[in-house]
Amino acid sequence: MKKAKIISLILLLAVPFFAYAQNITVRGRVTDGSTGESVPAASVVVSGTTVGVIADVNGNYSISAPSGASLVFSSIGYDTRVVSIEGRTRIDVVLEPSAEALEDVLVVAYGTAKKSSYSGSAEMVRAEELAQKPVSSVEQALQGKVAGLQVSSASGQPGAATTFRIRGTGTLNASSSPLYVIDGVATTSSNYSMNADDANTTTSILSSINPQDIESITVLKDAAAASLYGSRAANGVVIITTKSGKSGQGHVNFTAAVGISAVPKQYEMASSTDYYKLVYGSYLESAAASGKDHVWANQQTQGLFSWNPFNVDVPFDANGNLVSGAKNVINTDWQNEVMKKGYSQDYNVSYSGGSDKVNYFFSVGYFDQKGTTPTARYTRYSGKASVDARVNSWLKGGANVIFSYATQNSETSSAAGASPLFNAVSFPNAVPVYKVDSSGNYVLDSNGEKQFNWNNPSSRDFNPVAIPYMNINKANTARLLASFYTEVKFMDGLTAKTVFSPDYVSVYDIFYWNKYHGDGPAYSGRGGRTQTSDLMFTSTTTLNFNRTFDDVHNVSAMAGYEYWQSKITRFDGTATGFAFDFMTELAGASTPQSITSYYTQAALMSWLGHAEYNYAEKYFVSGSFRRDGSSVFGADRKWGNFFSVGASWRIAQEDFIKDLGWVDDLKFRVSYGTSGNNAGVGRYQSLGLWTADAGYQYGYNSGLGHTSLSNSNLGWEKQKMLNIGLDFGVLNNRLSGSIEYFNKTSDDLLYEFPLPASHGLTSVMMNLAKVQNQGVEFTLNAIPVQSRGFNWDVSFNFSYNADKILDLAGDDDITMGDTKKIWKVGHSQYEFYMPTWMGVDPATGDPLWKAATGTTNRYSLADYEMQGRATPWGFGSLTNNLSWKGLNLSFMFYYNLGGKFYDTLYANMMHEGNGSGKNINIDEINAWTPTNTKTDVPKYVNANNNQSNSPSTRFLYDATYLKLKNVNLSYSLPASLLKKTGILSGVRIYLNADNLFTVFKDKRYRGYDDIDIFGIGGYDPYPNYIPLSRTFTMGVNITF
Amino acid sequence: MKKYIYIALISLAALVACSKETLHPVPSNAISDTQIFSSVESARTALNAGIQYICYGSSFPYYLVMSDTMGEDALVTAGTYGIDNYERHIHAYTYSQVPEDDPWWFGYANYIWLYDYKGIDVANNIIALMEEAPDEPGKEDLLAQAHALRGYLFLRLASIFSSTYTLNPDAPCIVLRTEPADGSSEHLPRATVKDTYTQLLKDLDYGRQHCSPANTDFFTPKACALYMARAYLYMADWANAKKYAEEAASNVFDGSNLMSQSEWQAGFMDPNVEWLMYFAFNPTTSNYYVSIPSFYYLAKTAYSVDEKGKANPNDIEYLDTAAEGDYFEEPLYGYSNIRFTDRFRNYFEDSDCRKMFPFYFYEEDGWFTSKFSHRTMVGDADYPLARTAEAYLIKAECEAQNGGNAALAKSVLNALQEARGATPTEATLENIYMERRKELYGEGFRLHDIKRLHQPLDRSKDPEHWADVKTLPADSPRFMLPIPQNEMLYNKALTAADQNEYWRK
Repeated sequence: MKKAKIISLILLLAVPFFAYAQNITVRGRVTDGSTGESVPAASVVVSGTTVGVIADVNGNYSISAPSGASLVFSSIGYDTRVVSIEGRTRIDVVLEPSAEALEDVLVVAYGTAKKSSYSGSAEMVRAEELAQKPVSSVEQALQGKVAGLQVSSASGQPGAATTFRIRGTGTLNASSSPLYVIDGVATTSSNYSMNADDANTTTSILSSINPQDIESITVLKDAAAASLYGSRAANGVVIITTKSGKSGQGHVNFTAAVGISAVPKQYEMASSTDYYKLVYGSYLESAAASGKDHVWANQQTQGLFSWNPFNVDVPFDANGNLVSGAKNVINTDWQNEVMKKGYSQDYNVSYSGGSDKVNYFFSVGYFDQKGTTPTARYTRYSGKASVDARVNSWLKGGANVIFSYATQNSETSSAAGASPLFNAVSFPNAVPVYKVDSSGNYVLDSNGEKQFNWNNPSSRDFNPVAIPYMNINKANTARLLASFYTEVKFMDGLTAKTVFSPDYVSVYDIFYWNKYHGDGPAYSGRGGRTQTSDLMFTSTTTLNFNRTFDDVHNVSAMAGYEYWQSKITRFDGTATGFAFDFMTELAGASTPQSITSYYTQAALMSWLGHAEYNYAEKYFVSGSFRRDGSSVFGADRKWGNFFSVGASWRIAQEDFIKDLGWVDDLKFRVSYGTSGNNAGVGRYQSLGLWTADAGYQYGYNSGLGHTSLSNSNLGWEKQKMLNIGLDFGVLNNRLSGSIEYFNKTSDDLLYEFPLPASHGLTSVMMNLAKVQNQGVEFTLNAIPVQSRGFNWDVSFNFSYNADKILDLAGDDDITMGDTKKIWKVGHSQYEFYMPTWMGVDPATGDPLWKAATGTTNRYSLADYEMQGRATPWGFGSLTNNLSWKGLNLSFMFYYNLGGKFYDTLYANMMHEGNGSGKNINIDEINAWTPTNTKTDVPKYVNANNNQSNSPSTRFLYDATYLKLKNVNLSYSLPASLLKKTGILSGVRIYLNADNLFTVFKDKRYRGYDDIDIFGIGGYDPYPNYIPLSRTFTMGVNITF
Repeated sequence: MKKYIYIALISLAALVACSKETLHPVPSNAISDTQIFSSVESARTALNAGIQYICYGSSFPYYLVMSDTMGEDALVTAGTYGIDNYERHIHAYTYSQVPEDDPWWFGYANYIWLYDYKGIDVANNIIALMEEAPDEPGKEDLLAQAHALRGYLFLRLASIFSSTYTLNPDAPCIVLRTEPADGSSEHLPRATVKDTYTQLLKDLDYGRQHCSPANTDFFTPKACALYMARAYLYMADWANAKKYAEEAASNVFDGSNLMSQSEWQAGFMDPNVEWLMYFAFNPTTSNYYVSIPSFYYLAKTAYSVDEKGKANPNDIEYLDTAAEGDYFEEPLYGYSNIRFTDRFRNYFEDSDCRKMFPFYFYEEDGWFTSKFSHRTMVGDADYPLARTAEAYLIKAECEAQNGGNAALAKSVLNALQEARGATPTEATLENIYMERRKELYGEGFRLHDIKRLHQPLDRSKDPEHWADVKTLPADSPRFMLPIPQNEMLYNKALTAADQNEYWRK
């Protein structure tokens, strides 16, 4: 219907033209203003009509048009020109590359802004800068691209979530993820998968956006930039703009890429012989004390491992020597068995183009990534359609629809025996993958197949190589994100726009535990399904005004209303007693186990406004205001106001600078504003609640557990931020950059105030504390060489950040036992707090920690001390980009300065018998013995309980590192060659490598190249995540 | 004109859903404090949640198993005999419990404390908010259940976190919270043992007088009486202990109110005449693996292991054989990591129905017990929280004290012994203590008997004991658990000096 109306409207407008004007034929050539070469396939349209032609590959065109009309010349990457025909029959047109349009327009809150005049702090990354490589989510490609932005992937699981931190963390308990805005619509970054929650993994909803469909990403860092988003903006805002059609000839773009990945480095574990000797030695010692012999000690050792890795029953004699004829027959490298090579592929096709009436962009994509563990996999099908139509001179409208369907197969990461990662580092080498006889030969089944071994001392009845194939842990995510807009122009400079955006997320979780091994047999197979959906609506209506008075007074203003709501619905059912392992639907189960359903709702209503004035593009002032009412807060604090003011001075526009001649750009800007943080607050957290759940049932009586204490004053975190910046460009912009200082204080922090357990509930959410973040960001871009064939440019960024707790609701300090931190006024919220390791007592082999009395060998008596903060004081990246003709090489180093992290994985494998039977690192071989007293590894004792590997500085490391994050080599076929093909307009092939190597300053560190698995706080008790892999990708990008 | 139509449309869009309720949504699966206590019927759902904390999977098994494995009869497998212990329970058994909750298997104290206080919080809320509610049917029982629940949990906490009443009634005990707490509530210090017992007896007595549950899976007057008898026994108040034991057993001590031998031998899983109160286990909502049988029970028979059979760990057939069908007829096992010593097994005559120790894998590993069985699958079993047999034992012990009736002591003891198929003995205190071990093993009594009787711990004669701690003197401070670290950190009424002695810095 709508389409028919648009067409008839166009016809109505067009017919009179053709009927009464006298047409002539105009010819000419379109050339590039910078190179003088022709612009192939430029669009030439008679202004105000749909009549148009496309120039040929040499830029030549011919068009019939009324002699008094104007022609509109356009092409992607060039400024559009409108030329009046005035009776001429030949018009040659020079199009200027739209450098300004591409480089200097920023997508910002509720619109765009010229970078040259913008007074806030925002950085925009364009599609071409997001290295073309198969990543499931674009966030992963952003690391190092933006000063002040920390990106960490907690897991190498394909499709897993990524953590963003913009300018540190201004919150103690609330979430510190930024607000994501996709095509103008504030959206979700929640985790919807119940399986993911249960298995301690993540599925990123942002992965539902195909990175290939993204045109640009803007990171809003300061209050002036972000405060228009009010109560959701305190952690910064990430604006994702997807591709849309541009006027000009239609294009078809095809991309394909394949990749291979592997985890580059692993912990070096003790061989089964070495571990055997250690355990055996300890049993020999207790045998002597209890009158038993070495045969018993051998037996105990084998019992502990659940396997005898030697070919004889008593491999070691009473002196600890290998008996003759004894040899090791089992020595499994479990990390190697579990971690495999991963493969990925990524294909996309898009069509785009447009006239001055209608622009379109359509795309479809397929992405498939197999992770580095047995069954980790992420597959996504995506499609996008975007149409903008100029209905008439005063009405514009359009739609942008993104659909995706993704399937994520993940390995569980919880510490339970089911985690392949946990098992890979905790199964001792003495345990075989397949059943073997005493000589180490496979014991085959009746079909001659190898049989998996299910005995081990770490996870009963598990085998990390087999279980992932026998169980299912899958999340299917479907998403439809659409936005429809209408824009009405009342008069020049005054428009109204209304946008309506439904966003529907549906996640269907599937899990199944097989009947035969692992967690499932006790239930004779256990399976579950969880259906979660989130239906969100955003409706935004704005009135925009834009006018220039007396040529120098530029005024723009915007006012609007926005409404957002979300309803999350969940149904969950589990059943047991499955007939067959191949029939995993609940229909095949005999016994329902638990069934539950519920929904949660939230709403936000807002009034907003923004105004800007500049005098002669030299002096700028702006201000914005937002009033938010949010459902998640307490009855007494539903509404809040947020504002910002900013000013900038383009010094380069002053005559005295212009006179210098070598300064191209110089701008000073300052802004101040407020914003709020509502993330991380449960939707009903302000209420004192009793919640229904199967866990609270007693027998067959339904039960409601006491789950939260009421707080009617619960409100948002209030943030104030001052930002001062200086942007510069000199020597024809060969050297440009910016330096910024910010000071943000966050007050009324949402704070999970810890209560003594004897209160019944262990915490209550309150607005209490205050923290400060201060930082400096520095960005420098240089072009050391720029000659006609060869270009070398360098970009460097550095961020310094320091956070400090200013107030803790009257407390001096609060120990955060879960994260091994202390919150103390005047210190970072990331301050590690744990006992200080004092080495090994050379006389006894006991572990020693610092205590009031000097040292102690009992962990519970050790003193806790502040041990430095987890977050780096500085970080950034250095990128070099070299290009010669079509050849381009770029490489990026990422660096992290300072900060500490705690290696829980290594602590677990240096257990000295505290983790009975769990595998040990090769360093454990250096454990204290009466003859090896100069060591930092305490004595190994079976069934130890001295807590020698409990959290202390023994496993705390300096997080300073340098990483070669990315290398990209590409070649674009020359235009001359493409012309000959007649159809191709661009071909680029590339090779890409990610996470090539990492150099750690702390030489004691033994672990994976990826310390992000320990989280932003540098501590995770169960970091059983898949480390980030080293990835090589090969791809091609073809434009027709 | 069209413009104005659009303006009108846009204005309309702006007014979408501006109602006041929009900002005040109510949850779909939860209700507020005022709603839940608006009627007896709804408050009953809170009580259910409170009762389930009694046997909460993350705390109760640790409390219960610990109370046996910290003694001399039970142990945790060393993990070197074919079945791993998965670290579960070993730090209680080896007396290496710590105040920290990380790693969790070192610090059960944290979980027992937390979940018991969650149950107490429910009781406090019911008592505070329902006492003033209008009278309606069921209100009296509701309040009585809440009181009894609180008293029962206080008794349990006091028994493990403090020294005994008879050692020092003024010693610090537990936090005696009797009112609902919120963020602004005053933090409370540790009350004395005396004050704690006064409070818990008051609560249990309220329950005893007012409970009237439909079924014995809630607090019954007799169960409350038995808990009171137990508390008085711990206080060495023989007269009161006897009085309430008599009430619990309806003053019938002839064996007629005890379960039959076949009921005993079926393995505890279903309530019977002797169970004055039991915990109702629902296999569709509870966690099987951390139920009581999961820790004790492997099977009554096991493939390739005859009675007293030895097995190579590599040869013990596990679940794969079971799934193929033939070797285990019973449900599959859970953790199965608790064992009993050969010496303890030998205390039982062969005729004694309580001799439920079917086999071991290795002699040194100790015996499995099949006292706790299950129905459809691992852990699916109701669990007794009060048994008349305990009333017999309390009655016998009180009568055997100086000034008691020795003949009566003997007849009560013998009635129990005969009911179980054991030869009657003299009712000396030593014999009664032994009978308690034999009757109540696996039910969480041994540690508390060692403490209240001021006995030393002696495991030195049993080869199965592999823990470094073989002996401890009577009244050792190590018989207590540490006050959990989080309570020490966040309770402003506590200082480092309030920690139990062994862990005090």
